[in-house]
Amino acid sequence: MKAMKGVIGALVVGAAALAAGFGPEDKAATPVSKIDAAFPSYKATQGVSGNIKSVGSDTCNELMTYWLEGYKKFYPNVVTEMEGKGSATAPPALVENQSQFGPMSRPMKADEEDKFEKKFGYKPTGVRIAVDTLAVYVHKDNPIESLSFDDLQKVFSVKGPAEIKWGDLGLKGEWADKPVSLYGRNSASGTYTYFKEHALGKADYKPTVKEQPGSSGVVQGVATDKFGIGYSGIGYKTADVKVVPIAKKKGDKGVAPSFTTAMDGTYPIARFLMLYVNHKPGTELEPLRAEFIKMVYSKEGQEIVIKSGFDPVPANIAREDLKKVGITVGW
Amino acid sequence: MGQRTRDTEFRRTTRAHVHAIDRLTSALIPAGGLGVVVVMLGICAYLAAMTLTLMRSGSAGPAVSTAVSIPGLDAPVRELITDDYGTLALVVTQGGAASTIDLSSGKVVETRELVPGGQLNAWSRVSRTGALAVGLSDGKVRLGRLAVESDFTDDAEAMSAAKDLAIDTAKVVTLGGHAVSLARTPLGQVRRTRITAELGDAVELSTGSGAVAGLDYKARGDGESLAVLRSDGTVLVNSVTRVKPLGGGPERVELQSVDAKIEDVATVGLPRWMWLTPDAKHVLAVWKNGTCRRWAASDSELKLAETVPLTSGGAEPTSTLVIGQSTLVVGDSKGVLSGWFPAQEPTAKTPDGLVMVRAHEIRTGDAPIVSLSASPRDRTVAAGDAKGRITLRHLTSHNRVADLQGEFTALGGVSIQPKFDGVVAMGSTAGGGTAIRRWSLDPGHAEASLDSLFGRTWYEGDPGPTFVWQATTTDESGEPKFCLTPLIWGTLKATVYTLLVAVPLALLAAVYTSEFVGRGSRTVIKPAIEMMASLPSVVLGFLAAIVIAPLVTDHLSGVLLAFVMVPLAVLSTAHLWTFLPRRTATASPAWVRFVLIGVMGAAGLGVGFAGGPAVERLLFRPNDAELLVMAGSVREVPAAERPTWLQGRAAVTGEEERRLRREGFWWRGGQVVVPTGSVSDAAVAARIAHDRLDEPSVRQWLNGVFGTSRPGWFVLAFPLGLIASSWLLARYVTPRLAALELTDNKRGGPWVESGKFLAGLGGASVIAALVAVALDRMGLDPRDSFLGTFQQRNTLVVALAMSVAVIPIIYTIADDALSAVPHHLRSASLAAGATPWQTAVRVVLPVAMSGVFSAVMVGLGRAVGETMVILMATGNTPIMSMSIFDGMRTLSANIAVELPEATVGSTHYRVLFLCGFVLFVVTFVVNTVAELVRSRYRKRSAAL
Repeated sequence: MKAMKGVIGALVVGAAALAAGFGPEDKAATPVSKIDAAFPSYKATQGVSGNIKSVGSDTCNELMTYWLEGYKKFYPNVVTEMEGKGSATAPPALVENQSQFGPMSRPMKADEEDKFEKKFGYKPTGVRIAVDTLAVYVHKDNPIESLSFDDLQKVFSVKGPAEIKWGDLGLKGEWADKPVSLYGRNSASGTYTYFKEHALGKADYKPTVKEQPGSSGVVQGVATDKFGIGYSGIGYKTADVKVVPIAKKKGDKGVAPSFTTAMDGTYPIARFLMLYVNHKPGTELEPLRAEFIKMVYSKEGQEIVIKSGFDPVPANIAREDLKKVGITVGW
Repeated sequence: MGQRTRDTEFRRTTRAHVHAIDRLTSALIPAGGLGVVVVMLGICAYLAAMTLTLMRSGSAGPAVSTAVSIPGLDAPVRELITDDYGTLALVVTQGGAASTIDLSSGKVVETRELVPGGQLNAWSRVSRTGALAVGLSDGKVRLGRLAVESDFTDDAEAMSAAKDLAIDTAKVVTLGGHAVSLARTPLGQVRRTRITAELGDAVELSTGSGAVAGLDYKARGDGESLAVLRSDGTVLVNSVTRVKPLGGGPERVELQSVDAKIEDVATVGLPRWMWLTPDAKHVLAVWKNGTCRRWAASDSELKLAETVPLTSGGAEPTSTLVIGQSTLVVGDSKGVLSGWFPAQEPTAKTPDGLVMVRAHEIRTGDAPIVSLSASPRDRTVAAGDAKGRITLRHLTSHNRVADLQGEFTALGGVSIQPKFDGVVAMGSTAGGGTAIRRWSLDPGHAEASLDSLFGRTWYEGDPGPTFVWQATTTDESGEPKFCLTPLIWGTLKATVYTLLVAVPLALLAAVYTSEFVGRGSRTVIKPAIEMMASLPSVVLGFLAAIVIAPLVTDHLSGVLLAFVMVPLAVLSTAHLWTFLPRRTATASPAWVRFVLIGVMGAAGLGVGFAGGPAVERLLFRPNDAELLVMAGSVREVPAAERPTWLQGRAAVTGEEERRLRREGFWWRGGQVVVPTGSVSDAAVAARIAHDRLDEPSVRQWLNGVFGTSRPGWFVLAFPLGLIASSWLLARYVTPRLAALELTDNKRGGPWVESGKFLAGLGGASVIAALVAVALDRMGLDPRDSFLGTFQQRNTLVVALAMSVAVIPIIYTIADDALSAVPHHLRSASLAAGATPWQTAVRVVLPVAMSGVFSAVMVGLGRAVGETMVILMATGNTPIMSMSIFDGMRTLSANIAVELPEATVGSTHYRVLFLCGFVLFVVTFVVNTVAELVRSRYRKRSAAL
């Protein structure tokens, strides 16, 4: 489960299990076909051992857990450890050499890079490990057909009126004078920042957006609030909510989120999850980390991406990013 | 005999180890107590230390000055940039000559002619990406790049040049004809930094004629925008939008071009500055006399929105800059720095509803400001004046970052280094030469000041200063907003509403178990209630979010009615009980009454839920006029007949909408309307039936769709009515009844008491109704304060869930306090003929007051610090509303949410510690006050 935020930690995960009914719906359903055919099957090599520690984003918790488990299967001598308290915990851990990998659900900020660069003289390297597609959810009975970025800005940001009604978004009849009830992720999540930057044009959220500690909380809120609207990862869709097609410009036809539309860029709110490493430019990573990244960019690694509710990255992105950390592969 | 002596000796002397233990504990206990104090002080000091840094202003190191000789430095330069590491600087003069300077020696190490032959007329560079646009005198534009590039090299030539470099040092060499700075990094690698320049072919512009007089180039998240001013007064904005598919493949590019013309260019002349705001939504042109025109840019047009004077009192703008998303910074001839941006204004006459507001004004000195530079990291602006002084101020908080004495006779340019760790300025010096000066800089926490942390701050795009908490921004162009006031408000709101629910329940429960049930039942009930405290609050929060919140949403009227019906059912039963024959009543075992209370409570709940819709129908139903408006059968009111206060408003707030309603008008889809027609009209009736508009609904009433304020005031005033009517009864009716000796009558007693009870209820209703009408007449509406638009995650839900956590704490301490009251007091009271209730309220409770008070205070402390229930059950909305149907964000939940993502050591991180500190102070003050009050009560009851 792409679980909830930081401090809440294990307790929440336990509580979340209570609400299994609200969990992601169709995570592992199918699509090996989503995975780029160019990705080879991972083959273990010789002489990989040591300790691997990952500190960073909680959005990537499940992903990293599966990857580290998978890695241990290939290399039983590797000792793995993981902490997932939030993206901001990744940079300090990398700077202090306390971790080998820093998964983040947002790109590193300039002042975080500065601290790293001050110590090592070069900037940290981020590789793109998975695609997280965001969806805008409404209650399943809501008749709305499509929303543009302009509409989303009006609904979620301070640029719109403080009290907005469904009628302002074109709904008629009994919906017309019902206030829109807003749900969103909490301010610490990368989803919050991404949605603010891309869908809202960097405008501030309205203070009335109900921030939920987890993605499933947003879906659960919208599912039980007939006049609700919320955004969170597509992996959390349930039968009680409806996904609204999104148009970038007013008047354009809305595009429904799917792997295809996210990949060709017609669906406008999808992003990469990042894995940061301390890579000294011009050198090769030692086998322990290099093999892990190679495994991430393999058929097995990308299957785990799908299993965790995200979408796999295309092979050309993988090639680009492998080159960034000095790995050349034959495929 | 001997035996006895030994015994006596044994009794008289204490054994050594007892003494040892005694000495040990008398040392350990104070040490432990002292330790607690030390730890508390330590935590306090740590929090204070973490937060006091916030108040520290920035500081700058001493100036490092090097003489440099570059021709053309007497006029302000076009561009002054440095690399990330402060080794190289590049200065571009008016004519377009670029000189690269080795900052350590001041030597010019490379010169380039970027734009050949005196053609350069306008210049703009995006500092973040290095993208460059130049405007030429022949009306053409050339795009290019002037960027600082760094990489790591093992190039043989570079390695040999760098072989004697020590760690963390750098030197500038010439490699392959270009100046390159080589630096040895902490890991021993060699980093190569150069300033590269390239310029593409000249592009003909599609619109207007004449030279390019002004240019502004901005990089947006998904493309670039270029605004151009031509000498014939044409203003055009060209935008490129790029979509890069995540899945790879070719980039999709969209081009847009919009233009406008300064029609009166012959009379007003060309503007001195022209800017495109970084969000690419506005073009701002500023004339030398301080006039500013704003064009609003959309996908399809560029429209003149307004003309505003930027300066007054004889000052003229001498330097301008745009920063953030849309802020125009103006430095004027009197040394005043002002910040302007377009803000939403409901009465604005402009086509886009925005007006330029002068939000910030900072006096830097009295000399004209000749050069401005913006921090790449926040809203800090460096202003260099004609006397060579450089003032760094945070534009939003007005905080002083640094004051630098440049000692120039004429300032050529000033620039804040890319990492915001230094300032570079160049200009003419007293000796007649030119110099470049550099200061290292520690900006401190410029965005935080006492004012911005607790007061109202005027943020970009707002029509006025506000209390806002929104700490997370997307990038440096956004402003983090750290105002703790909404969080403190939220903390207090959650606490007050929780205590309103928890205190009566907990205290009544404590009175019940200590005074009314036997010891046997108490030993069962007390641990059972205490068990409630063992429920983890995260589970409570989770239940509140997924069970209570939807339940309250679906059965709002029922839940609200249950608050009245449950106590009413229990009290009615109590009155009915008095009608039982005395023998039956006294002979029935205690558990019968206990069960009866439970059954009647449940019955009240049932009646509440079942009767909710009926009450809803009675009080919260739209009338015919409202139905007509909702069904759209309306007529627009001509402007002349509208209320004057409305003027030409394009939008109204909920409060104004209700004010309009009281004056007989409705606000519908941006228009002022009155209903026409009749509900019996077939079309209207069909519409009403189809959309179920005539359905009664508390939620719709709360949302302000229909209805007057009266039902709301009635509900709120009812508890006050109860208090008032019971006081009136006790003051005026009971003595009369007593005089008639009716209350003592064994047969008549129950009738009289029940009659009093019913009269009390009736009286309360009458009083509440009167209050409701009076308040409604005064034009007050509870939907503007205590009630409001219904949110699913609201204070009511939190109060219910948090009560579960707070009740056991208050209950258990209060129960202990009540039980500790000496039994002889109770016996005396009962023997004197008082009933158990009279004994409890008038004898036991006053004696136990100090304990009961501390029970409430401990409960309050628990509520203030409660985190997980709030985090899970509310929307964590940092709003300042009193409404019980709105949510809140509390200090503790805020820390839990944001600390994991705050960059360690950042302003945000420290502000979160400040939240902790404020929480600590609140708890400390509450506890101290509680202790003082408690000790007074204790003194009073000490004699017993």
